[in-house]
Amino acid sequence: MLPEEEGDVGTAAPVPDPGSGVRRGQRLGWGFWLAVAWIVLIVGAALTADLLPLPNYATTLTGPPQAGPSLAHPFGTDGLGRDLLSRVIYASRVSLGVGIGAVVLGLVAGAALGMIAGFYRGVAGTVIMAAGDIALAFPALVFAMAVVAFAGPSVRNVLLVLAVLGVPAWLRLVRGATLASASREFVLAARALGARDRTIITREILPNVALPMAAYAFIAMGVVIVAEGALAFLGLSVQAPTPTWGGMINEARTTMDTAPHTVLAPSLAMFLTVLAFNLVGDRLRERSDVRESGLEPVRVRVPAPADGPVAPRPADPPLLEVAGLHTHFPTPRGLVRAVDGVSFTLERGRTLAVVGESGSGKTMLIRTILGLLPGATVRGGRAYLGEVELTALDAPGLRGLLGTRMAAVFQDPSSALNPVRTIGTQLAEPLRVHRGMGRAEARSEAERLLAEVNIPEPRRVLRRYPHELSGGMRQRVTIAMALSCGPDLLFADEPTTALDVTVQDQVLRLLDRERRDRDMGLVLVSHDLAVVADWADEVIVMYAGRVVERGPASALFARPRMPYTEALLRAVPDLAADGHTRLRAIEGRPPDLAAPPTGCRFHPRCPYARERCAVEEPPLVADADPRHEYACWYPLDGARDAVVEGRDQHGR
Amino acid sequence: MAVILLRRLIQLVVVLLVVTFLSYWLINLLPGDPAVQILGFGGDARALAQVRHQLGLDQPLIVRYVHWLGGLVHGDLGTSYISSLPVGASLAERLPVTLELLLLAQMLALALAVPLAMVSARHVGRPVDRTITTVSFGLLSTPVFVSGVLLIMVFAVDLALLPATGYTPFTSDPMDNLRTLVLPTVTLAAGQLAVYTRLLRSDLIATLQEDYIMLARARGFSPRRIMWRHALRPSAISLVTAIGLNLGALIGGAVIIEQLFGLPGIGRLIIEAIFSRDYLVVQGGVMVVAVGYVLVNFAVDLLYSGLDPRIRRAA
Repeated sequence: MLPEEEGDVGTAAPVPDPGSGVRRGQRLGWGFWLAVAWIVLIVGAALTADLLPLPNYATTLTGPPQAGPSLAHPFGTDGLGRDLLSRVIYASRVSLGVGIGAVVLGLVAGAALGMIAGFYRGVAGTVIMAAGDIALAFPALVFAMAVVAFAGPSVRNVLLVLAVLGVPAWLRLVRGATLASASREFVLAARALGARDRTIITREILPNVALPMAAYAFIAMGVVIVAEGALAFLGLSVQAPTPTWGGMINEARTTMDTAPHTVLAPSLAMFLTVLAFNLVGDRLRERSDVRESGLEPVRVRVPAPADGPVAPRPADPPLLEVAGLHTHFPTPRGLVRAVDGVSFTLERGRTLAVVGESGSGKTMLIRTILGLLPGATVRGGRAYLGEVELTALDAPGLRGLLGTRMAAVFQDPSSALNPVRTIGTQLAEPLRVHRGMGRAEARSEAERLLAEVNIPEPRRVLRRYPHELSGGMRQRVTIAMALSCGPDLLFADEPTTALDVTVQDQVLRLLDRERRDRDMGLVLVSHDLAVVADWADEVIVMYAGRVVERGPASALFARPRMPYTEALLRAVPDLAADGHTRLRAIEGRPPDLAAPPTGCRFHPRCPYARERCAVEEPPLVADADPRHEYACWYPLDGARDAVVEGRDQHGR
Repeated sequence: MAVILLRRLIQLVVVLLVVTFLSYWLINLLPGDPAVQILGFGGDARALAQVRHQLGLDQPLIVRYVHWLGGLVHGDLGTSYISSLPVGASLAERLPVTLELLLLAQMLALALAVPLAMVSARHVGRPVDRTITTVSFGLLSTPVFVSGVLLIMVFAVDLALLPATGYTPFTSDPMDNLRTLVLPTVTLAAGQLAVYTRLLRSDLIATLQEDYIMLARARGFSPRRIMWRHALRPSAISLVTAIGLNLGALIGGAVIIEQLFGLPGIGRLIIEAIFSRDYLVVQGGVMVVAVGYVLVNFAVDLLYSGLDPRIRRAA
């Protein structure tokens, strides 16, 4: 069997490794640097306030009271005629001093406790965490107000209280990060090598938790600055004449109707500072968290591939007709051609197998036909369902056909069902939405469908959640869901890959029986040519987004012409012959779809490749049986067994 | 299930005991002496000792705590040294105002956050998503006293649309009650709205990548149905946790908002008590808030299993 990775091209957007260094460096963005600039500016102003040519912050009547911004007073003056710029800058000393000081203190205490709790689990860890959890239950700001009011409003008291209140959050963060890295290989290895605990903590763990800690430090500074502002607003921070932002906003309330700038100046300073700290923290957090990266679409204009001419539809069109279908993704590395000109037709009541390795584009082909592509794709070519051109439909138009005329079953039944809804709810949903059934009617129809796909005790299964069923049962449920509205066409994308070998055959048998009973068209996608050959009428083999061989299943199986098809067949263990023959995967890796090889795309991995293969791309040509086509300059000859033997003689 | 519930309840009682004890103890730790406060500075030592004895302050902390707890069970939190009013009654009188404010703010924040997060998650990276994330980031960075004062400036002073201060009880005039609460609610909700939108957006984005969402699309369901029926519930766990954990921040915000807008809520009562050094009221107030926090988070814990059946099994 071929190495089948979790995600075929389609499941994860074909963007290269989201954490790769190149992209990370670029992703901070101008907002981040603006925020850094603001922090540098305000910290610099706070530090050098005494050197700046500013009027004294406490001197009244440096200008007319409540005067708007002017050259002498860039931010204007307050109700007592004091210079607002000077007051805002001197107030920043309190906010920033408390913000930075409290965070540093809280970090030191919280980080020490958190690492102990994370590194030495057991009693000490449990006690520390329980204390932290309970501390979180206290209304922090209320408590800070009480302490400062009773202990006296001074910078020291405010700073200490806010530092202590920050400890539980630090504790959680550091413990979490420590736990995560303490179980990583390099730490385990260091332990096994007999490194002392302290060495491990400082050398191995600390560097790993540093980035999330730095990120949170900035966010925490914003939090502390807001908290100090709140205390000051209530008159519970540093007392007059020293200005504070919160205190200035509170004072300015009396003059806000006549001189709004008295409110706006400190408000804006506070907002920008908190915003800047949050922004820096958030960007740093994003860098330490890969979950969100790689989602932003690449904004490049790419010419859409040609759709091809609109051919008049024949009077009796085939069930499914695909002509020159293209699906391209713009990525930072260039255009990924996931599907690159695929054509085929499928008649009602027949089975078409689409075969290829992971990344050959077969899943993207299905999703293109079904209109289930991620946002930033470029499509070309045409697909018809009977007389309807699917590629010309908008999203609502396509929705009118999905579920009712076309249905799909996907690879992994454990992720294909919604984990928080019962089987009954999920199975009844299409019946109620598309067939307008009532609750009871949908319920009994759902039960009948479960029985049809050979699920024992269907009534009980309806009440179950997906995680309570086995993989094979879940796949039967998704098949029942797909069949529920009587589709004409069923797409089964690797329906058995995630299943137990013993169940695989049952599921394929079930799909085949349903195809026959319902006279549906069935598109069976698989990486395993031998499996589908038994069930398919026709096979198309895909490589790097292209069809490289196609024809009746029997012909392909008995006499593959394209070396890739042959390799696919050889990659299958021959159970009948010898249980101990080694599985043979195809040499080399699937090609990079952003920069496919020249000529025949398979040539770098092809044992028979010659010069021409690297230069000229072979077209699809017909074999002796005109339904059998292949794209190869030097096709294999003769029956399959002869080919294998012949090659082995040459020691390849 | 019953056994789990029982175990959780026992846990809850233990945590409540610890929390009430800590509120009692911490307030006792604060500097200042009620006896001095009652008699004023310069009272003689004998008189001070006598007052302390009357107040029971000469007994060990744990005895006083048990005594206080005994009273608490009967709704008796002592009598304020300052106003001579029963603490329990003062708290009970102010509590509904705060609860109404918190509830309205939560409802407003959630009512806006859920659809906004959905729009944002559906159009990741597009202008509408960028706008929503930028605005919510800005809201997140705006302290309540800043947004509150700005809202008063615009809507009460400049436009004279809404009252800046004052409170009408719901029972005396429901419409007027809501009018007085518009600005406080919006102020308090703004920050929460931002937190909830960001959380839910990020979880929705992850959920929308799931196979079962793709399969729901393959069954021809409308984007709206997929969002509400398929994606919302599996994405809601962080959101629900945040609702519980945010209560602490929300109460801090409520204190300021009650002060700013002149609402007679429990936050303002605590502030007044702090300024007048009314120990018993501060103690009672902190205790009520802490117990409320613990209870809400207990409820959130129970809600989890309703949201995700897999947790039900693991519990």
